[in-house]
Amino acid sequence: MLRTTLAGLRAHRLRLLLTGLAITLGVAFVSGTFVLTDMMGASVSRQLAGSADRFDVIVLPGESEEGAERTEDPAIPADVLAEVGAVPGVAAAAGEIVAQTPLLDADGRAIGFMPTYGVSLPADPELLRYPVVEGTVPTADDEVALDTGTAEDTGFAVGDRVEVLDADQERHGFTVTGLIDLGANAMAAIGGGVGFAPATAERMAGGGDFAEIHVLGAGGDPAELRDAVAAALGGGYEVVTGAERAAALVEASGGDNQVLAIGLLLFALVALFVAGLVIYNTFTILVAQRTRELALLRCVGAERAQVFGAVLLEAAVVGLLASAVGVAAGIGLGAGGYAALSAVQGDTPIAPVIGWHTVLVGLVAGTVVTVVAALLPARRATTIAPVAALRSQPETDEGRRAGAVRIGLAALFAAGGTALTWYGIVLGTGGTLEPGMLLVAAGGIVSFLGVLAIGPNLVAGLVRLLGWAPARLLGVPTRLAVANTRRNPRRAATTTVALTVGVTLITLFAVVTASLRASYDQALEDRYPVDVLAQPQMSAEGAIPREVAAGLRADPAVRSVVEVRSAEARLDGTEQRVAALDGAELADIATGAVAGDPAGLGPGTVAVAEDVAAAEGLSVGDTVALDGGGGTGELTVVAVLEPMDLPVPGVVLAGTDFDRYFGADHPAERLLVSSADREDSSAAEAAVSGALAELPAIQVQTVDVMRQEMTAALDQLLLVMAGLVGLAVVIALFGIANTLTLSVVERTRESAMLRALGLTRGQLRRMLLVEAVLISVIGALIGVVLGVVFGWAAVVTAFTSTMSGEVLTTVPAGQIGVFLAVAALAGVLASVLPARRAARDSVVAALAGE
Amino acid sequence: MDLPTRTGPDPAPVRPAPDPGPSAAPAVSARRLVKTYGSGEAAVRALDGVDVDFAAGAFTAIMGPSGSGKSTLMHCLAGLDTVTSGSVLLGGTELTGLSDKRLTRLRRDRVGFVFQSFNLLPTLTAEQNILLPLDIAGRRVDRARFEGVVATVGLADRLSHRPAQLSGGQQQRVAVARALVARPEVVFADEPTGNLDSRSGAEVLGFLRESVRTLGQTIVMVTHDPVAASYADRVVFLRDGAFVDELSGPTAESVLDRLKRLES
Repeated sequence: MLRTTLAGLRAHRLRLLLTGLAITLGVAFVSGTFVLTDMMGASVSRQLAGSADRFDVIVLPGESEEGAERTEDPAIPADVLAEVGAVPGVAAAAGEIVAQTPLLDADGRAIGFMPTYGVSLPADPELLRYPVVEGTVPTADDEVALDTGTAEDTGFAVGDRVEVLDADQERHGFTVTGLIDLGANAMAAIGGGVGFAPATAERMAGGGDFAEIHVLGAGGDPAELRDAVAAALGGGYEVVTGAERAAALVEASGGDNQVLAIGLLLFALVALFVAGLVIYNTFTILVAQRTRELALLRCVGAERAQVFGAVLLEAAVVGLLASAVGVAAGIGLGAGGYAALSAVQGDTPIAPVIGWHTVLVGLVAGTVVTVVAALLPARRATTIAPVAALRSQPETDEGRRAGAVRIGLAALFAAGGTALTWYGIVLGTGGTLEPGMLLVAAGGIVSFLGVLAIGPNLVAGLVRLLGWAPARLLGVPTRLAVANTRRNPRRAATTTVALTVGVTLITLFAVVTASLRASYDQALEDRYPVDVLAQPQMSAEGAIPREVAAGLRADPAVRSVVEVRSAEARLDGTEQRVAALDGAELADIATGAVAGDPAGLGPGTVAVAEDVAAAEGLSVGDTVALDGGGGTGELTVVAVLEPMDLPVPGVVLAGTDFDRYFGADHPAERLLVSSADREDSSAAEAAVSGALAELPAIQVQTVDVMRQEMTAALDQLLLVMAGLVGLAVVIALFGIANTLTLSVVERTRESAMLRALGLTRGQLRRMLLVEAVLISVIGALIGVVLGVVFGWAAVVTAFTSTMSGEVLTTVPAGQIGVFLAVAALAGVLASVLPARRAARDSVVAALAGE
Repeated sequence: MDLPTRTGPDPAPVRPAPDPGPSAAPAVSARRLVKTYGSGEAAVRALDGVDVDFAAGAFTAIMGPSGSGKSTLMHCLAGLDTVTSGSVLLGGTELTGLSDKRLTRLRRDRVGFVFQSFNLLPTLTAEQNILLPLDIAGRRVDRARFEGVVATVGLADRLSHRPAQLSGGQQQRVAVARALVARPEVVFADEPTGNLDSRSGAEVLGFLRESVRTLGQTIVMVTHDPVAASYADRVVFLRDGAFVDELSGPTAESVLDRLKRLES
């Protein structure tokens, strides 16, 4: 039996190839993901470890929880370095200063979403923990090194003059002497970084405290040195060996990588599922076509179990071979993808990392999916009666009605899916996000199973509906194609549904991104008009003197300026950020009130955000005690506010009260500026930038640009998703080509007869083309409907409670039209090879051939 | 010569067959027709210089032992296959050298076919199958002709059935109706009764002969069955790819007799 199966496989290499390709692609995705994320992990680990294990001992601030570098304030006093240096066995030691030192762009404004961090770089190369990529380490007072990523983002190069703000926001000019990879520094890795000579760093940071101290020993055992240093310093510091620190850093860095791996593997899973559908269909057709061959085996004495085994064995062999090719391709893809990424990011290339899980998971997943997909076809093969060897009627299952089981199952899945989704929406809109989203996802999967169950009826109905007009208008080939598609609804349904998976996901993402965009735009339309925002960088403090707003209010390009002033205070004993909005009424700015009236805000009263009210147990009419810097007092709550679109703290006072508690000259933290010219805010932007010329740490952004950035980010997100789902679509296309090719083989004599009756080659090709397009468009249509429904469910669940303002579910008709057009075009492509094959056959040979 | 197999329905009112007359041009003719398969040492001469005419309005059978080239001859005459040398004239059109497209058109517009099996598209009803050649050609259906042909072959109550719902004999009658409905110049039949029981076979052959008598149809039929050949007006014998003999007004016995002599 084994020999027969293997001989059969050898004899049908094309069949093997067609079957295996789908699985190869799916497995390549899985192993590629592993290789890519392993390499990224290895690269990060190497960098982090390299930055720590070069030292014998590292001293970290005491009560650090997450790792010393994450605490914002260096917590090792400068004089500790001298104590460490005096410990016997210490050859050299250097402290690292880390401080916010925003790098300015050519216009003199702080660069980036977050401020850059300044890091001290010791002159002794033995004590330098970062690799120098280009140039030299700064030594003089007016020299600076840039992080490679920061240089890439800003375009600054060695030799350029740059300006950097110190801790007091004073500008200092520097010459760039080198590019250094600061990636091992957690702060600089996020916001970008600059490096200074130690003395310069101390001056810029406004103090000599260290984030960590790096120690090189005189050659003794690092552990002994660690203990000696710890003993010398007494308690209060964490003293570890370099190797221990390296291991801790590597362990802590695994998380991000794992999230990426899981995300990619989810898409790989979708691709494998689609591949499974394709395999299932292919094997079903192959079994049907080999009815006589299998019946012959039964005639000569093969048992049912042997026939079953033969089909499964074929699946296992195909699965294993295809998976092996897939693993090899995946390793190539992963390594290539990493090379491309590291080239873009300017990282040093590393050798491919091939873990055992890459090979093993790829092989096992591919083989198991193939064998499982072949189970049902194999079972069907066992029901072939030996006498079938003697008949030669090509089977069709047209006219077979859907069984009650099928319909019952579909109804059950549909009901279950609807219930899960509905409950998920209820939870999500009620604010219980994660369980809600999970339920909606589960509802989507269950509903999809329902579609799978009812597929043959659904597809047959849609073929009838969609094929009706073309069949009557577009001539014989189209009519034959429609009839062919209906001939075997189960086959058509499985082929179709494979494509549906990908289209559903892409449509879902399109609906979510379009809805986000529309809701965001609507929120901008509805709210208090702000065209230009002036605010500090993220995680930085800003202070805009009150004269700035006063000056801007006199500028003709500016229509209005709202100053957001805020300060820390104690509200009924708890720390809260309280604010005043000068230049506008709260009622105009607030999105809405849950209770009370924002218009009632005046001296002696306060408005609180919903979350603050909930946390503090406040409601309208309550009085609260406020303890500000300049005094204390009692305030009455006049309104509980809905979440606001604008960046405003959760406790709002009247301006006069704020003056009383914190002083009238307390600076604003941000300005909300509206332009006199509603169409073009560039004049207002120029006015704001000019007014803030002496405050380089404050960023000036126009809402138009923010909106464009948001749109671009959403578009990019959709594109990435489409790319990830794309492979599932490609596999589904192979499925269509596969089914068509096998159908062409099956219908060889039929096609020859049509050719004899006068159907031209072109008409025969057109017939197959229409079949393929019909299948793809129907698959895509089902996907669009599912995607819109579940996109809507996801939007409502995820955003109703989290977005301020109304959530607008938007169906991007244009994008969906593009998806359908692409599906139709893909159908055309899928038909090319099968159609060529069909048209190539000689009429006489096909008529004679068995 | 009243054969037991001739039990088909009584022929419709007999009209005198249009007399092709000796001067009328043949419907199909082959001259020095050669067809070889393969090349070099392995080359097989399936047809080796065949000269034969098929009269218009007549029912001609092509016979010969296995491998005599009778099917190949039919394929070449019908424009299904290309010839190596020689010429084929179908109603005055020289087929040799025509492009695939023109041959396809010619088959579509001027030739009808009845094959041994797999004649019908399983996805179409009997009526749609019968009208398929007209559909492909985009020609208007002559309803009177259609109904006449359908009535003749006795399929009026089976038109909405799919092939799978028809018996083998009924399927073959659908194929005959399809071949006749478009009024082709020639109907080529390749072992049309090869898969049928003798009763159904006799019916089909009866219809074919009837269409010659009443409609003046020209039919060329390949068969190895002397009884089937006896329905023809004339039998042409091939051996080793060459025309060797012919017989007019054949009976099953005379055909069998001639075949025996050929094989000896």
